[in-house]
Amino acid sequence: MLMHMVLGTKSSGEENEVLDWLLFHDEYNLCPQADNVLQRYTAAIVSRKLFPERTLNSDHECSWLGFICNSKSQIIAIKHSKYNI
Amino acid sequence: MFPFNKTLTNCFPPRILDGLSSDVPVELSLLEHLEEIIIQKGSMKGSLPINMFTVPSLKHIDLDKNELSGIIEVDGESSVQRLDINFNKFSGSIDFLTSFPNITEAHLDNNSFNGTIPASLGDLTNLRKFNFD
Repeated sequence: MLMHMVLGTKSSGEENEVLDWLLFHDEYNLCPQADNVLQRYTAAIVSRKLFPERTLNSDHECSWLGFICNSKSQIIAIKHSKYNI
Repeated sequence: MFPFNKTLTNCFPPRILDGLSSDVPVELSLLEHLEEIIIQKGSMKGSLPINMFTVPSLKHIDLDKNELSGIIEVDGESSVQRLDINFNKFSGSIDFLTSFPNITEAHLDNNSFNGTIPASLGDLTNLRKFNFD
């Protein structure tokens, strides 16, 4: 499964990049059983696609620029506007 | 750092293939608690993924001033109440609005939509602001 996902010819560049990052570079203590595994994976892909100029960091995804969470650390909004910069 | 467990990848969803080239990630729909998507004045191109409107909690989509194009299709019924896609390059009819039964504001100005305003828009009883040229 891992090999398929990492080496699969149909996966996008962002998916490969994010998997590699999650598995080998992300210093956030993400455990397979964690509630936010899917959210972090998804947020990382969304971040790479929407904000390609930003690098992924090892803080919780709720603290990533452009992502807003509720009190349960669930992403409820994605905001980005060049009006505000 | 922690020792990686290959079972981590079992937690990931099956790959989504939309077959379309778009800067709007199809993975957005996996964020199941998402209420707002606000990405204004960007340079996003391509069409919108068909599944992005039907995230259950989604209320507000604002993609004002991008370069998005193509026809808009909705996969089912959307809970979105406010849709702002002014200043893009969307085309086709605006019949998709009937998939938004709760919509209160629809801002569709400065696109390349064509056709007539569908009579079924009258069924959208919450619609208060509607901009379309």
